[in-house]
Amino acid sequence: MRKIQEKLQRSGISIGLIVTFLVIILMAIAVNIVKGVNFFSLNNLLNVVRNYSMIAIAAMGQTFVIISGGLDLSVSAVMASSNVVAATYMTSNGLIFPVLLLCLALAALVGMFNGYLVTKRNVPPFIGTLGTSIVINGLRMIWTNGMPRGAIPDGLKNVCTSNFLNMIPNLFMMFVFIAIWYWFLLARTGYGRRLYVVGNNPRVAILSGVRKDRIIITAYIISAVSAAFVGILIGGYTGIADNWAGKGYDLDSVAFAVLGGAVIGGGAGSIQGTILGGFILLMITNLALLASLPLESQLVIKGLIIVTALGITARKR
Amino acid sequence: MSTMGTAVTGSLLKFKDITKTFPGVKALDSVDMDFSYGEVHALVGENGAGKSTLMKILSGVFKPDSGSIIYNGEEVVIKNPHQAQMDGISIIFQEFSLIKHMSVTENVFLNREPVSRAGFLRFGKARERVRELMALLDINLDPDAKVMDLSVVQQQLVEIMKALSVDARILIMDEPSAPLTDKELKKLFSIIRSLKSRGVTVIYISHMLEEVFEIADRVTVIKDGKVMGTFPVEKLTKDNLVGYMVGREIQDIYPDYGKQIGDTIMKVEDLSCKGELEGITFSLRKGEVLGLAGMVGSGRTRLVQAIVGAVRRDSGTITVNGKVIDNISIIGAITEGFCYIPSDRKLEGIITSMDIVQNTTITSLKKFMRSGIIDRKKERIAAEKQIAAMQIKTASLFTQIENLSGGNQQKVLIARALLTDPEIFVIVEPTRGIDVGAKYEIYKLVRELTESGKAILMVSSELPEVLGMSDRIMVLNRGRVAGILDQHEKLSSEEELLSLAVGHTYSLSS
Repeated sequence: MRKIQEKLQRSGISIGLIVTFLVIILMAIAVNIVKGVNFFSLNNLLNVVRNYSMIAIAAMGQTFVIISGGLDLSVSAVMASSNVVAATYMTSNGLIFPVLLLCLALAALVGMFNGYLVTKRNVPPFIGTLGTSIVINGLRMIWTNGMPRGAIPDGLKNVCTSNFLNMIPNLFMMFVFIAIWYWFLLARTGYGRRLYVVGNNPRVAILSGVRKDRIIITAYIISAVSAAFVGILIGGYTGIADNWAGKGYDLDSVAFAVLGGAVIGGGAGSIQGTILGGFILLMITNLALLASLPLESQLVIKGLIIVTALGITARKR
Repeated sequence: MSTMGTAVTGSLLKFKDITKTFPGVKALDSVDMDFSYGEVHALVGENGAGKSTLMKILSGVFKPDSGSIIYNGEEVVIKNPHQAQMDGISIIFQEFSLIKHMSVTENVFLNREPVSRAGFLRFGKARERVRELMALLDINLDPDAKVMDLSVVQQQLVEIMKALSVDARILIMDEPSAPLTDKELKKLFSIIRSLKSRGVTVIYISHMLEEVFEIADRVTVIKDGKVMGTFPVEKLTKDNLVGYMVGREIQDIYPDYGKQIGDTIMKVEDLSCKGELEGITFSLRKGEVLGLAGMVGSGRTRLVQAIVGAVRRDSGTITVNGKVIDNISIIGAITEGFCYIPSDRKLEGIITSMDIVQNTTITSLKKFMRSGIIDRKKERIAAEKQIAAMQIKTASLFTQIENLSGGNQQKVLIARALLTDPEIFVIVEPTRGIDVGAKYEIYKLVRELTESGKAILMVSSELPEVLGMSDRIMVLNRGRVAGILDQHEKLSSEEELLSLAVGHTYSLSS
């Protein structure tokens, strides 16, 4: 029994999370029977999955920052900005890749700045990244005059809306690819190990010769670059340039990670946890939608879940 | 004894049979003491003798397990610090409890701000009161100055005013002199004398015996939670005071060791950190334990930090194996062969949510990585080997470190250090919070290290430990080397060590 517990503990997913997941599957079946709407219908599942994939990529980036002991509230601002930059400069299919790289590079700068504020200037992450997001949003509005120009090239639209082998959404494939990558980075590399140490006990990290600031700054870069990538995916998926693409995703990404066992304050969290936590959150909101609860009650349910999850992790500390 | 009337003599406060236990330790053992009106009563004893615990009971921070406190002729129960303050018992802690961003006046009246009937602050009145207090104490400060802009002694004066603003009858000063210069100390003493003349009882805790002899009327010595005696200061000499403070035999729990001391591995010359350390010179040899002793505030921690690169030194050279080491970072220190095992395991040592393997390998992680990826098998095998060598008792390698006992956690930290192939171990308080059996195992481990030629610099507040483990002992006092005792020529006594530590020059020092 202890072996199993240890295995679970090391796997980064708590028993509570798995139980919750199973309960929600049961709820889905119940809604299915009572309301006669099918959560498991292909159409619905595809919708949920596409939506999920995009937020989850940002949430996995956010997970790095939370493990480091921080919080990244500039996720949405970066998403919208990369979305608008992409729409402006991706004037032809041939420019998709170079402009994508440009957006990611700009995002890396934003992440670096966030990390700089938090490490070198000791700004609380909440305030620092919120400030950054306000600045970025402002700059974007000045630049676009409130009206984003340009259009999304068809090539990108095709990639983001079609399915791999006519079955699995390409967005989901991208998510899986990035997830494996991030999981490996966090669970198997020296960087990942040190990130946990920094978040768990910065003092020990320093005394162990870990370059703490560098580790933290990298986490913010990962989060910003992930967000920028999602901003472009949103553009491809919706087909339009949107000054507020990804609105609300910063808090959603935090909620994904926290539901998955990440602890605000650092030291705990995992990619697999965030994936599962996010899926639970999205399933619940989708079930509420299917059960034709009004939007307002959906929000209440979502909020309650987040608060409960935070309450549980906070008590554990 | 009657305490009525205007008695200037007589007992203001009495402790009767006060006992206080913490898990595993009897901090105070039936303490009886009394304090008179308007006296300066010094409380002395080694680190951890129980002085602070006693004062925390008096100021309502702790509750005694048994015993009673008679204050002003009545038995009282001091529930919390606020009540103590209202009853006229004020304490000035070592770390000031001032709010740096507030003004002098705001700090003096913190939580007791005069308010008008409508609930508004009456700031003018508060300021006036502060001016009165300053006149009384002959202090000149701007009542509106922010505390963070004041010097240390000025901050201390604010603390004193804060205490007096509630008409303190007992003022407890815990190591007030540590941050002060000689001139500032004189000022403090003159204020203490003026308080005394106004009938305030001052309880003065200090490691500095010279101060005790200068300011105190009576001295109480506490050792291992027991009162060794209360003496009028004029009946004491420094020698017999130190004798009362020590008065115990070294327990025979220290392992025998072959004294194979090799060449000098590290030389520290004229090392200084502004305001904390001055002109520290010593050498460390292979296969030796150099004990570093001194009272709290003597600069031990700062010296250790300066050596391992946790703080910068202002001047001085450190030479390791003949190579001069510049001011280095911790990372640099690790590559130069230093390792640092800190005293506060929870805060600076263990990574609570990680398992034993991960805790063991963190400092040497690079060894187990290829192009950034951790070879987990290699990591596990290396950790396993160390854990077996240290005889760490654990159910599994993947047990979270916080589930281990203190002694086993300490062993993990030594294992962590060993994986970096260090030559110089800097160990601070190696057995703090560890029970006696495990202590012995740690001592044995330390001896195994020296036998394999490692050099060890060990800071310890426990005198028997320093005396029992060290080949030589360097004693610091107020940031200077007070003396280096060689244990080989003859074993030093606690008296000798303590005399150096408290600044009473003994025959040995220059």
